[in-house]
Amino acid sequence: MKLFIKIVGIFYLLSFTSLYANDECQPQDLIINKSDLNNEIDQNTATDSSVFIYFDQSLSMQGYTKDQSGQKNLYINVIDDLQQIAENVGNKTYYHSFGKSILPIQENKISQVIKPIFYECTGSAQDCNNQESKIHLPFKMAEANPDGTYVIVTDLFLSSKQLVGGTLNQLTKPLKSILKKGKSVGIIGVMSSFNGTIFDIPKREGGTISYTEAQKRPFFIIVIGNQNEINRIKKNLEEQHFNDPEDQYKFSLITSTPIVQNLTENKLIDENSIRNISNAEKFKFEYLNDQLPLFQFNTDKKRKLNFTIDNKEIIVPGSTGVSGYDVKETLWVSQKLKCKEIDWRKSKFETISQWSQSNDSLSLDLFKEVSLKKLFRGMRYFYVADIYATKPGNLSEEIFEEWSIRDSEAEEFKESNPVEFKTLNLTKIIKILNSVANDEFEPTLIASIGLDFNLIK
Amino acid sequence: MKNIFQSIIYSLIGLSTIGWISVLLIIISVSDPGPDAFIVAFFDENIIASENYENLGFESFAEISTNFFTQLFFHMNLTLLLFTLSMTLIWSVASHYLNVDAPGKAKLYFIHWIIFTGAFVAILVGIIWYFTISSVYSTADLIGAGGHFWIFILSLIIYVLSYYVGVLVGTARHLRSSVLFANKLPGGF
Repeated sequence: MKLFIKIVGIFYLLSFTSLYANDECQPQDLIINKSDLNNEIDQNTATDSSVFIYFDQSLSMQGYTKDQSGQKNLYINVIDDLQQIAENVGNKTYYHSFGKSILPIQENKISQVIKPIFYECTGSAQDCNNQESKIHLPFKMAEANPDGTYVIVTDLFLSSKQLVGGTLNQLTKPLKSILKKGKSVGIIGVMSSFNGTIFDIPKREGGTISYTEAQKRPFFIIVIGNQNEINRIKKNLEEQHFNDPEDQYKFSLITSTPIVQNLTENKLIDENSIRNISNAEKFKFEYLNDQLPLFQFNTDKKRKLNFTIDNKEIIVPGSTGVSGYDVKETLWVSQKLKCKEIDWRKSKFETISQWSQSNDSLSLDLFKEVSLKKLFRGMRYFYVADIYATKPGNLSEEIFEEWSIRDSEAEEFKESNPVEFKTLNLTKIIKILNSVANDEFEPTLIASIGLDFNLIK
Repeated sequence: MKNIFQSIIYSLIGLSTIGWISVLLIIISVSDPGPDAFIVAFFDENIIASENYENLGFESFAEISTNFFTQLFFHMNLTLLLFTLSMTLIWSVASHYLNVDAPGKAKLYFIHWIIFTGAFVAILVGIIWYFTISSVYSTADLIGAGGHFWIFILSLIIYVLSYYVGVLVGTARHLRSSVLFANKLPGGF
């Protein structure tokens, strides 16, 4: 008898379990995808890593250190402060100069980097470190020790021959490795007073010339590290030095992950994310299993469903952005409307909605390809869309365009006696860096949404 | 009065020569024909847009045919039958009250008949439209573009023919000249 009661008891409990399963209204084969993004962004705490600062010691840099009347010298101000900014980022700072090779700077000589003497060399040209600017060397160091944060101060004046073949490979190979390890490269360009000679301006017929009449010229602070470290350095510079509206500075971020976050995982999707949906009959919004934002409602066939995402919420500021998206969609249908009787069937539709992008937002026209008009009324539908960023954009290439001059135009530009001198092949460099980053780009899930609706008259 | 009752009986008999199809359709649809029925297969092949339900994951129309037959098709045929029956009987009865007081007057009533019949057909079309095209019945979404054509044609054939045969034999004898071909009926009928 006891055994019988036990068996009946077990069956009684089991019947509750199955009832609970039946009460769940979502399709049983529903999969809620997760992104690989690290959503925990900590912007305030300093890391235990070291900061390595590399100063370009080439002679072309000397002009930044000489003051001139009527021109604001941001180079001296910024570099003077860089030590303190670096200490905010890491626990130890190491200083080096680079030219033909990398040389450590002794602590008592660090203050000299903002003085002309730092860039002078009394020895023979062959022995001096100021005749070349091998920018790939700090990148190599960053590749060897990816835990550190690297700051490179340079005029980024690279001729076309440095941007092809083996020389280019020396730059792109470590960069690729750096990006693969999840690091990013921030480029902060600052227009500063310049009172010196710009060397190695290529001539049309070959050879190079120099120019001494420039009064302003951009220099660049390249930061290799985590995105939050780069942003912290940028923020510090902005707060401390770029307060004047006349200050010209630009920022670009080379990263293989130009996506800030997954909106679903950070619960940033709310009932207003789909325009006017909250006025639908029997509207309800909730996070299904605390994971999927689910819009439940009744609708007729005339309703327009538009899901909008603000670009600022997903795109890393200063990065290439995203130019291509892929929406992976699944639609289930059930003839029965009540949860207890629900009988979901997966539809064969693969493309149901259509995305479009503007400068400010990403918009998903839900049920644009497969119109609600094509669906049967009197049935219940369950729709899930996973929105992936699939193709990086080229926004950052345009940022530096006005400061860039091509090899072929350099001589002509110099002959026009410009006061503000441009940087050789700057756009090309950014393009190269971006293309390396884009190679490492992987489709990233930026948001998932679910709709559970009855199609009525 | 005796003639009127006779007309009603003749009308019902005439109506039933074709109208039995409608009764059969009503009985089949209200009792849900089931997945193996001929009518379900016929509708699947000719009336229903198979692409739409296949895309939604249904393998055949039979899986979703219940609501279509027990609601839309049943209600539509019942409405059409009752309407056809009413119009047939109205004409058959009214024909006895149309006064023929001069030679050829009965032929003039042809205009009345044709207007009455035209109104009947127009309302018939309206009823079919209401059930199959308007948004009143959700299962109407299943019908494809070609399906609408077939439903209209088949329904019109069944109900217009039923009506015609009903009024052909049910019209008062003195008014037979006003109904198309009714004067060809044998004199004793």
